[in-house]
Amino acid sequence: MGIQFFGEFLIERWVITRGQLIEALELQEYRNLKFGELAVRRGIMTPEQVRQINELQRSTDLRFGDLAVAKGMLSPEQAREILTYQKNNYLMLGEALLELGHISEDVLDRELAIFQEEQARYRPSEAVAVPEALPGAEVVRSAVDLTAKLFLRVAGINVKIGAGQDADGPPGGDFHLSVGVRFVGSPRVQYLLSVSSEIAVEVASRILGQDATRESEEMVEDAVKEFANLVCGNTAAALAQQGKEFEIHPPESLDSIPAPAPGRRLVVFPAHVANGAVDLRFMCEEA
Amino acid sequence: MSRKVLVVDDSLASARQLAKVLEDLGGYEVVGHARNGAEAVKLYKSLSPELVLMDIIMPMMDGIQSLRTLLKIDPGARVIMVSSMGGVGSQAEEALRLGARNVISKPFEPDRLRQILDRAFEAK
Repeated sequence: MGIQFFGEFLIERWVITRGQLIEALELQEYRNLKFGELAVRRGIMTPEQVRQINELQRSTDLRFGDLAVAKGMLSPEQAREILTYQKNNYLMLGEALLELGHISEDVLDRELAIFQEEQARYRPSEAVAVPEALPGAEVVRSAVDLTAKLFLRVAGINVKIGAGQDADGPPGGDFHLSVGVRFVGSPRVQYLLSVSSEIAVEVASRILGQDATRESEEMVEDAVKEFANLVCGNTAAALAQQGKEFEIHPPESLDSIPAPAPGRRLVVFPAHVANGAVDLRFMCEEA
Repeated sequence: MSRKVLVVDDSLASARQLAKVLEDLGGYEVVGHARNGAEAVKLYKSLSPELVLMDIIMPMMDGIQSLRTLLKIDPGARVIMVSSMGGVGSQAEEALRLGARNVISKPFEPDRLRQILDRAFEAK
């Protein structure tokens, strides 16, 4: 079992039906007003300005509030106030189910406790050391932690990952292939994984459920991309459970690991494996 | 008789993994593999699968757009979304609201997949 959504967990345990979950999601959508709707209600933005920001969001990863401040439509204080209001008044899924009478308080408390215990093993470890003042440190910490956990679980490979440090260029050594996954959110972070051919074949064998030594280069590369997708998707899900919304782009193959440009920091986490080599880096953009 | 499944995933490895797990579980037969949403719509029309397993995050037409199109063609289509983000996040919630039968988190255990697939055939 990976990172799960509480609603999915309740359905699997036969506590609620899919129809009841949808009703609760609809109630949440009705009650949990979007940033723009709240700004209009407070009379500090017009519906036309909200439309303009929504339009701009299609071509940028910035959040609504950050964009509205950047465009001079809101002051940073106004944006902060709305965010605080949203946070304090957010109707959680369990509360929505209670209100609709689809679950009792006792059952909700019991299920929540079991759910939290099961999900605790996917929570990012505070032990992951990241360089000081790193933009997107929480994304990086969670992704490093899940890289080690999923290497062991998905591929049976024990990887020891050390403390992160700033890097100024691509990894040295002989890496067979590199893949990257971009996190969409603020700040922008790119996950960069390079592996030697032994590790690539091992990952592919485990994902495909059969020896991948004779598989095509495309299939092996695809398996490593899928592994990076698993790490980053589970990272985004873990962060969403803490109320931080990030989504991910599909994984991509990279010819080389990029060098840091102005406004970006490249960090490397030394990774040690018994047979083969793994290099884990992140490109973090200053907000 | 095996139930016909269409797998929609831009990753060849992930599609192969799903096909292998379904073969091992028994009772399900993968009749086609589409690498994006547009291809999925085409194959759905020609293969008439009983179940679609579809990745949410794909380049070109993503899983959500494709789900919308499939349900327009066939409102009774049984579609289960597969995502490394699981049921967490706005895309998974939207998929459920649109009419996906469930969202499976990756990586998954075969037994859990079986449970979710079987339930898709029970749900009204």
